[in-house]
Amino acid sequence: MLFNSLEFAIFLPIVFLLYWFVFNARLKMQNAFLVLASYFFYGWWDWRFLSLIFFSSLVDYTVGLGLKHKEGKAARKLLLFVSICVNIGFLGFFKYYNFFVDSFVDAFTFLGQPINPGMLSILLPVGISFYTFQTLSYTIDIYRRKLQPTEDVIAFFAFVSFFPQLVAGPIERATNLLPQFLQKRAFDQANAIDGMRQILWGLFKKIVIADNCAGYVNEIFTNYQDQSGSTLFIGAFFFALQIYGDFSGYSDIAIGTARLFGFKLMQNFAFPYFSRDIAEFWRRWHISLTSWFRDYLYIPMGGSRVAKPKVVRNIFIVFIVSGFWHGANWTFIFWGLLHACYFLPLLFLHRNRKNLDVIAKGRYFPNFRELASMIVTFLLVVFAWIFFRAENLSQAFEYVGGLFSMSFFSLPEVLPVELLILILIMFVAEWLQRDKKHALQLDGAGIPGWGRWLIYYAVVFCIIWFRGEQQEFIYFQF
Amino acid sequence: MKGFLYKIFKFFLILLITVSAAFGITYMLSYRNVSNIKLDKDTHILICGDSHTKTALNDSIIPNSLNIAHSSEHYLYSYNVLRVLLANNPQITTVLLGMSYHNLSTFYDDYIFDQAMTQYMYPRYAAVLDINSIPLILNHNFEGFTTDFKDIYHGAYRHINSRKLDDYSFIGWFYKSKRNNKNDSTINDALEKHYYRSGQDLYSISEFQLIYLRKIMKLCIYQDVKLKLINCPLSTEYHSQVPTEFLEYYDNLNSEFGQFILDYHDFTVPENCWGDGDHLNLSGSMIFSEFVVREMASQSR
Repeated sequence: MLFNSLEFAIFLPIVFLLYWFVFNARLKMQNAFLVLASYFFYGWWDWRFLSLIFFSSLVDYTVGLGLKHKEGKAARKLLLFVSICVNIGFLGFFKYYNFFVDSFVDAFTFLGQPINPGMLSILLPVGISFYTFQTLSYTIDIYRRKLQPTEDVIAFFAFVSFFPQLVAGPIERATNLLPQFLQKRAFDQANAIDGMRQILWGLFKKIVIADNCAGYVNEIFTNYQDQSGSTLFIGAFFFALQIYGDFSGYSDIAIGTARLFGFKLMQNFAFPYFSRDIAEFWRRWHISLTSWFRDYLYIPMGGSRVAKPKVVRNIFIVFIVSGFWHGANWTFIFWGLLHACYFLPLLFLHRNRKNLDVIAKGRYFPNFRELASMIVTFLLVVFAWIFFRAENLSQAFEYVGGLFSMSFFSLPEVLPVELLILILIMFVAEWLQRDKKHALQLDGAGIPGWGRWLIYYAVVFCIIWFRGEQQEFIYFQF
Repeated sequence: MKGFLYKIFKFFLILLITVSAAFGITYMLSYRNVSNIKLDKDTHILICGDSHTKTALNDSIIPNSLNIAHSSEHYLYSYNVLRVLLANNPQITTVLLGMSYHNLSTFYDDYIFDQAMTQYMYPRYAAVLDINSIPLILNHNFEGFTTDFKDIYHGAYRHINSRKLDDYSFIGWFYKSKRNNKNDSTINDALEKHYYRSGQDLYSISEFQLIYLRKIMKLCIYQDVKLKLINCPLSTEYHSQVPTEFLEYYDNLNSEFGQFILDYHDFTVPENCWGDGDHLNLSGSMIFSEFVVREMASQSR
C-alpha cells in the first residue's frame, strides 16, 4: 500500500479510530491490532512475503530470549550468529543472489572459462533491507547487553512490522522503539497535529517535487546519449531533488503517521542539501541508516580510533557496504566509493566534525563562505547521484562524459519553469525552518492560526494542482 | 482527542466545500456556455464516432456536414456531445454515427474505467458530461477521477469563455490521413487492440456501449433527427480476422438496429487508399465519402 494512494487514505483513518477508540483498553490488544493492521498494510502489496516477516520476527524473538538465558560467550555468539545468518541469508538470497551469480559469470568469462549457471526469477520483497536491519539491531543490542530482551511476543512482532516504517524506514533501533510498544500510549493532541503537518509536508515533497521530477529524470536518463551537457546536468539535478523528495517525503509521512499513534520515530532527514561538507551531509541524510552503519559496523571495526590505514579501510568498507545495501549493482558500490573519497580528506584534515550546528544559525541568509561550501557540497552530491541512478557503470560514465562536454554551456532543452518555482518554494520553506524537524512545524513561528491554516491549504492546493504522475517510492526497491 | 478530531474534520470540511464550490461554479459556467453552442446554420449532418469515422467521412465532400468524431470515442461521450449539440441546433437533420465490430468490444469501456486510459478522456469531455454520467464514472474509477482532478477541472474551466468551434475540446474533426501503411503488422496491431486483452483473452461484448447506443437512438428520435449507424470500410484482411463472436453479434443487432445500419465494411478501395490496417487515408475517404453522398441521395429519393 502506497502512502500516496487512495487505499492508504481510507486505511489510515479506519486504523486510527479503531486503535484509539476500540482497542485502547488494553495495551496487548492495541499492539495485536497494530500487528494485524501492519500485516494487512504489507499484505496489500504481496501477502506471500508476510511469511518472511513472520519468520524473521520469530527467529529474532527466540534468539533474544535465548540470549537472556545464556551466559556463556560461545553460546551467546552462536545465537547471534543464527540471527545474523537468518536475516542476512534472506537478504542475500532475495536481493543479491542474481548479482553474485552474474558477477561470477562475468569473472569466469573474463578468464576465458564461460559458465552458464541457473538464474532465478526472484521478486524482491519490499522493505526487506529495512526490517532486516531493524531486527538485527535488536539481537546485536541484546548480545552487547545494551537492551533487555522482551518476553512480550506481540509487542516484538509489532515492533518489527510497525506499518508506518515497515517498508522504507526510518530503520529504528530496538532501544528506541521497542520500549514504546511496552508501555501504554496516551493520545497527545499537539503531537498528533504536528504529525498531520509532517504528513502534509511529506506528501508535498513526494507528490509535487519527486513525482514531477521523475518524468524529466526518466526521459533524460533514458535518452542521455541525445542530450546536451546542460540538459544532462538538469537531469542529475532533478534526480537529486527526486530522490530527496521521494525518500524524505516518505520518512516525513512515516514519522507523522507514527505520531498519530503515539509513537516517536527518529528523524531520518535533517535538510541534507543545506550541508556545508560531505560529513555534515551524511549526518543529515538517511540518518537512521548512517547511524546504523556507524554503530554496528564502523565503530566495531575500530572507527577512527585506529591506525590511519585502518581508518581508510573502515571508511571504504562502510561506504561500500552502504552503497551495496541500496542494491545489487556496481553503480551503488561506485556511488559509495565516491562518497568515501569525498569523506576521507575531511577526516584526515580533522574537519569532519566542523559543521555540527545548523547553518547560518540566527540569521536569514548564509554568508558567502557558507553559501559557497553549501553549493560545492550539493554539486558533489549531485555528481554522485548520477552513478546511483544509472542502469550500469558504462551508462554512468557516458552520462558524465556527455555532461562535461562543450554543450554544457548551451541552453538546456528542458527547463520547466513551473517545477523550478515549486522546488524553490520547497527550499525556501525548508531553509526558514531548518532548525526544526520539518518545514511545516509552525508552532512558535509567530504566525496566527488563520495564517497557518492558509499555509496548509496552499500546500494542499499545490498537491492537488501540481501533482506529478504517481510513482512508487524509490526506496521500496531497496 | 475530541479537539483533534474536530480540527481535522473542520479542516477537511472547509477543503471539501472550497473544492466542491470551485468545481461546481466552474462546471456550471462552462456548462452554460457549452450548452449554447451554435453550429453553422447550414450544417445539417453531424458525423460522429471514433477514428474510423474521423478518417473515412470527409465533411468537405459530404454537403452540409460537419465531422466531429474523436479517436477512441466511447458512446457515453458521443451521447453527451450529441445531447448538447442537438438541443441547440434544430437545423441538424441527420447524425452519422460510426458503428463497427470493434465498437461492441469492452475494449472501449477502458476509455471510461481504466485509470491510465482516461487521463486524456475525462478532461476532454468534462464540460459536457450530464448528471448521470459523472456518478457512473465515479463509481467505476473514483481514483482516476480524483487523480485527474486538475485536468478535469481545467477541462471544464477552459470552456467558460470558448467561442469558436476549435475551442471546444470535445468537438473533433475530419482527419486528413496521408499515411499509406496497410500491412500485416498494422492489421494485427488493430485486431489485437480491439479484440484481445493483453494480446490473448478475447474481450467480451460491451453492454455499456449498447446502453449508450440506445440512449443515442432515443435522443435522436426525441429530437426528430435521422440516425445512421455507419460501418466504415475495412480491409478484407482485417475483416477476415475479426472474431466470429463479434461478427455474429453485429449481425444479430440487425434485428434491433437494422433500419439504422449502413454496413459498408466490404466497400472496396484501391490498396493505396488505406492509412493502416483498418482506417482509410485521405484518398480513401474521398472515394468513400462520394459514395456515401450518392447513397444518401438515392435513399432520400
